[in-house]
Amino acid sequence: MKRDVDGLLAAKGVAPASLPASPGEAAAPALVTGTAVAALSRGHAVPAGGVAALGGMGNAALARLLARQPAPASAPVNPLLEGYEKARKERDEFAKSGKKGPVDYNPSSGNPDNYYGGFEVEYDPAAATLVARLKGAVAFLPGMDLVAGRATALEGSAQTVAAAAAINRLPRAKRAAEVTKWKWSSQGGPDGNDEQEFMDKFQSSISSAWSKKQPMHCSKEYWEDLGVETEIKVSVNKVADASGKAASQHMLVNARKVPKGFVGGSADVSRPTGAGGSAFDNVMNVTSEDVVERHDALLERNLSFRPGSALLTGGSVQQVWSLAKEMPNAKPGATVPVSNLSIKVKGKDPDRRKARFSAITAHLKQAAGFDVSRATLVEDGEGDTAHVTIGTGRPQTVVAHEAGHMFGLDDEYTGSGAYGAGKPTEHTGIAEKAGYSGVQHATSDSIMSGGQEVREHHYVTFLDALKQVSGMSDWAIGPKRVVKPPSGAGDYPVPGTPGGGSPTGTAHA
Amino acid sequence: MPSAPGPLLVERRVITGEDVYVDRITADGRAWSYTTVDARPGDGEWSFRRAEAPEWREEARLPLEALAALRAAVEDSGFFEAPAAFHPDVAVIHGSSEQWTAELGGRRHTSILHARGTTSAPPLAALAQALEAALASTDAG
Repeated sequence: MKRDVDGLLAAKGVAPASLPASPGEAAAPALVTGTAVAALSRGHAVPAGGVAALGGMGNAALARLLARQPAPASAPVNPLLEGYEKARKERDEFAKSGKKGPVDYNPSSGNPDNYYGGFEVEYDPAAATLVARLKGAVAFLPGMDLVAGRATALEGSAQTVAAAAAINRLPRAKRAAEVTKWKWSSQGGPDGNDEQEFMDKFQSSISSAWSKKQPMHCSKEYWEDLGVETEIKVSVNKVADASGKAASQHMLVNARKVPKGFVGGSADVSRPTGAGGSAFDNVMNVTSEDVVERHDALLERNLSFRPGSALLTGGSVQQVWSLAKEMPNAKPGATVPVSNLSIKVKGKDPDRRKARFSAITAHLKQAAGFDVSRATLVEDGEGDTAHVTIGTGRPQTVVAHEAGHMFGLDDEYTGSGAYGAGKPTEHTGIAEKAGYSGVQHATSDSIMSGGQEVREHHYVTFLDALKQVSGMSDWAIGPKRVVKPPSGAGDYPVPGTPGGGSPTGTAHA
Repeated sequence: MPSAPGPLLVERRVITGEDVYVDRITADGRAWSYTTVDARPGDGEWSFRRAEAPEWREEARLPLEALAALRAAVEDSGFFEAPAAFHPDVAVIHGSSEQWTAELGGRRHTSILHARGTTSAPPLAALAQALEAALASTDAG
C-alpha cells in the first residue's frame, strides 16, 4: 500500500501512530523515518511502514501545512559524487580492517621464470606498511683448513684458491697462523665476536639497502591515497650445521670466514627443490666480508692517455670497448633506465680534456653503438688519465645483492650465455607485467648488477606479495596520490575531450 | 692470458667473475700456476688486489713417481669420457666454476663444472684429489 503525500514532512516524533485515513481508506500504523522524509522531499510515494507520525492530522491538513513550507532546492544527482563517497567509505573500512598476514611468499608463485627465494609478508593498512621478513639460520664455516700441513681452500673462489697457494709457498711452520685467519673465532680464529658482528651487519645491511626504497599505493579509483612503505626485517641465528635450520626459516646461510680486506669470493643463492620448491628451501653461500661494501670498485674504470696526446693507450681502448659492450642502450620503448657514465678527464687545458673525452665517446660509440649522450665530461685538471664512474658509483654490499635473489630477483650483471649484455633476466617478464619494460643484463649501478641502487622494478615481487597478502590486486609502485572529490554538478568527463577518458578527482601528491 | 707452457698433462682453472687461478702440470712433470689474483699474507693482515701483469709461474717439478701416479689417475678417472659440462642438480644463481683440461695418449678433453662447491662430478673430483696429491709431493716446506 502506498500513501501519496505532497511536499515536505517536518516530522519530529517517532512514536507509533495511526495515519488517519482518507474517506474509504483504512488507518495504518506509521513511523517517521529518514527514508520517508527524503522520499517526501522529492515528492515520491511513501512506502507503507515508513510514514510520518502525523498525530491526528488528515491529508488535507497535511497538505495545508506543507503549503506553508518553502519549496526545497532541487539538487541534481551526481553519480560521480555518489561513487566517490561509496569508494571512500569502502577505502576507510579497508584501512581499519586490521593487519593482513603474515603469510610466506614464494616468488615462484608469481613468476614462471623464478626458482629461488622466499620471505614472509605482513600488511598493516593503518600503519601503511608492508613488512617483509627474511628469516635465516647461519652456519659459520671456515674458509680454509690445514690438511697434512698444506692450506686447502674450502671457500670455492679463485681468490681463496690463490690465497691457499700463497700460504703453501710459506715454510710449513708459518702456515697454521695464516690459515687461522680464515677461521671464525669459535674455531680458533683471531677476530673476537666476529660471528655476532656478522649477523648484526647481515641484518642491517640488507634492511638498509632495501627498506622504503620505493613507495607503493592502491590503484583503485578514489583509494589512491592509500600508500604503502616496505620495511625489510631480517632475523638470523647461529646453527651448528644445516640440520639446525628451522622449517619456518627461509634460508640456510653458509658463511665462510675470510680475512678482513678480502676481495672476491663466491656468493650464490640456490634452491635445491627448484621452481616447485617452497619459500623455505633456499641456501645462501657468502663470505664474512660480504656484509661490508665491496673493495673491488666494480663501478669504476681508470683510463690512461698517451702523454701529450688525446689518444687512449692500448689497454684503455680495450677497457672502453668492453665497457661499451657491457652497457647496451635502453631498448626502444623501455621504461627501465640504464646507467650513464661520468667521465673525469685530465689534460693540459680544457681543449685537450674535451678532445680526450671525445676520443673516449668515439670508442664507446664505435664499439657497440653506445649513445654518447649517456656520457658526461667532468673536467679534472692536468694529467694523462681519466676516471669513469658508472651511474652513482656506490659500492655494493654483496649480501644485499644476494638478498635480492631471496626477494625473487635475478642477476642483472653481464656474463656469458644467458647473462649476455642486453639479454632478458628472469624477472624481466614479471617486471613487464607491472609496467616496467626493458629489464636486461647490463653493467649498471643497479643492486642486481654491480651497484647498490634499488630501482622501481626491483619492487615487483614486493608488489606481488602485497597483492597476495592484502587479497586485493589494485596496487602499483609509486607514491600515493591526493584524492579529491568530484567538483560537483556538471563535472563529468566528456568522452572525446581532453581528460574525458580519465576519472576526475585524482592528483599526484 | 700469456700462452701456457706445454705440452699439457692436466690443468684446473678456478674461475670467479673475472678472476682465475690455474694449476697446470705439463707432461714433463713441471707444476705451474697462473692467477689474476694478487693475494699476500702480510704482517698480520692479508692484502688482496688484481695482479698487474700476471704471468705463468713455475712452482716445482713433480717427482717421477708422483708424475706417474698423476698420469694413472687421469687415465683411470674416466675424465676423457666425462661430459663437456657439469651443471648443478639444484638451481644456483651464479658462483664459481672449474674448468679441467687433460691431454694423454693423443687424447685431449675439456670439461667445465659450474657452481663449484655445489655441483657433484665424480671424474673431476678424482682428478682434483690426484692433482692435490701431486702438488703435495712437491712441497718442500
